[in-house]
Amino acid sequence: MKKWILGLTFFILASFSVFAFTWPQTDVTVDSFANFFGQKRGEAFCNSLIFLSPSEVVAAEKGTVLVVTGENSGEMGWFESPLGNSVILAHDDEMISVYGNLQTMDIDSSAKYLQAGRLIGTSGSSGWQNGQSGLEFQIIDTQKDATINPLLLMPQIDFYQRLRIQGISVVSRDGTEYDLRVRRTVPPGRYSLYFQRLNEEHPYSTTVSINGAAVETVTFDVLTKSKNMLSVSGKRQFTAKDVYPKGQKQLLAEISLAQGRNTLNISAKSINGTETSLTYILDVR
Amino acid sequence: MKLKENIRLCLIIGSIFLVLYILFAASPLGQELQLSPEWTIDIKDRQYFLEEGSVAQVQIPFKMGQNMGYFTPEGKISLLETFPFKATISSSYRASYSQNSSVVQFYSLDSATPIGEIHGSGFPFFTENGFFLFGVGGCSLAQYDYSGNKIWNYENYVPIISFSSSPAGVAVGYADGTVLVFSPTGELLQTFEPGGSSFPVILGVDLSDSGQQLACVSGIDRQRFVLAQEKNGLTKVVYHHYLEMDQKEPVLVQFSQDEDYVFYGTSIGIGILDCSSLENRIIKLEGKILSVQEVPNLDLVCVLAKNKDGYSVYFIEGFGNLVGGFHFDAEVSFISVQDDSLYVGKDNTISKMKIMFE
Repeated sequence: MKKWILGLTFFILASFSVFAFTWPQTDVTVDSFANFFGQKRGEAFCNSLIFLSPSEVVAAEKGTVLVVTGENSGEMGWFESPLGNSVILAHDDEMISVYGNLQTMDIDSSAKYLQAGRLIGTSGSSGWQNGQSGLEFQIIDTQKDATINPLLLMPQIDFYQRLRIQGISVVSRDGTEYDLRVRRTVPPGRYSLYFQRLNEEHPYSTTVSINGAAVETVTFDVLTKSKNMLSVSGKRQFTAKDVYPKGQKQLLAEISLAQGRNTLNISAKSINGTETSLTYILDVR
Repeated sequence: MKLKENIRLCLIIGSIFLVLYILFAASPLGQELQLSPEWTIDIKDRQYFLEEGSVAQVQIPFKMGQNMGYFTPEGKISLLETFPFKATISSSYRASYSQNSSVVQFYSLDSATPIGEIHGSGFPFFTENGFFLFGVGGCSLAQYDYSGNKIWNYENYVPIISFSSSPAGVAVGYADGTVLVFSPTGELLQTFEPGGSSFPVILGVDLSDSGQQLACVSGIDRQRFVLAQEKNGLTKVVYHHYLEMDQKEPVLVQFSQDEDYVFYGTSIGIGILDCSSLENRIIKLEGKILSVQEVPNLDLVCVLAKNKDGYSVYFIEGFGNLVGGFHFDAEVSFISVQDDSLYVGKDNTISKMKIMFE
């Protein structure tokens, strides 16, 4: 499974040079987003890139119109998708893109093919949204059965994404929690290592090293199925329940602390390479 | 003289032929569909509300625009609720919810106060077979019991486009062309990919009440209707038919209650497949097929279709004979059939018509 995930990641990064999307709306900056891919959304991973404000929405890449949803909205006997009014396009290489939470649609179900940049509609409030938000945008690889972080396939924009790592704690197997801000002495054993996430920030990847050796890297590049749930890859597949157990905690790693002095290094990276790191010296006894 | 005899002979033969023709060629006139209006009520007019303290034996659910509730066959509104965003209603339960819904309070038929809560972020959907929640992001589904406890959930990587629930479980159609069938306890029973198109997508799906049959409308370029049946523990495609034109929106697919027929929407009307003989018919109708309601005693189905300028109701007898229909202007509508009566909702009114053949 791990080799498969590595292979998929390589494939995605390799594909970037030959197949890339454009932004589905204009004037995109670091402040354009309400939710990032992989963030906690409801009780699950956010499988979309959600823009902050309503805007005109365009096709991010040329493609065939697969389905237009929302025209049955409100009709008795039909379910309501949390995507609201949406358009789904099929592209080459078995990729599809999803444009959800549309308020108005400039195309209807008679549309067959759209060029990149073609106006699809305007985003708004037809779907499930928590607070202010606009377009809900997804990119999916149906060949690999994976949802891809759209930022990986978008043109890079120059922005500095602030990342903070704070509120570090470890939780033992029996549920005992140690706040490393105030206590650096912990018993030896296996722990889940967490930090306090902030709603307005979300790292692309986090890496934990103990005594200079990397023990875990969790990357929010793709979401794949693990049994009945979507998961992100690390040393194992982590579900949303693993990564976001309770409150504002976010999982960094599952670690073993051996007796003695342990240098714990935590780093968080944004998608454009900005890195923040933190180091703790733990006395494990 | 000879001429007169010939004429007389011709007249006699002609008369005998005429009498024989009348006796043998005549056949009784066929019965015609008759709709007899019984009442029309305004759902906002309090004179049509059920008297306080009265108990309604039969209550029929309705949802039109931002209004939902129940009415009686006698033409009384037993409950009316207005909701600001969205709502869901079945014959026994109802709930309204907000755009950022994460806790949904639900009500039973006769309760004015909530009887339970569903915890989960997404949009709920109540059917006659259970409570369902479509999760945020559009790719996940959960089922809850009638106390609001989660029974199972399933997260997929691709959006849900179509859905069907039956006593046998649920069938979910996805944008990648896959149908997943789950048991009522959430066990994944089968994965079905009809294929056969350049771009796979499941636009409509239905699982029969017994779970033995699965039908779907799938694909773009070319789009087809597919029927699969379970035999000896294996599910296999027993019929498929390429549709004239691709539809690019969710499509109705529905088995008849006796599972003898399956109805499905097409770009030009409604398709009907006989599940035993596998004979298929397409009946040309105007509009997008929204609802099919059976009148079992009369071997008739009523079809509601949405047009650009309103709605149409069509009547189809037996296997594929269009016997009537009417069109009306409305922003919102629904149809429901109880016994041999058709109820038609139109904006703020509900009408009852008795259906007869005479």
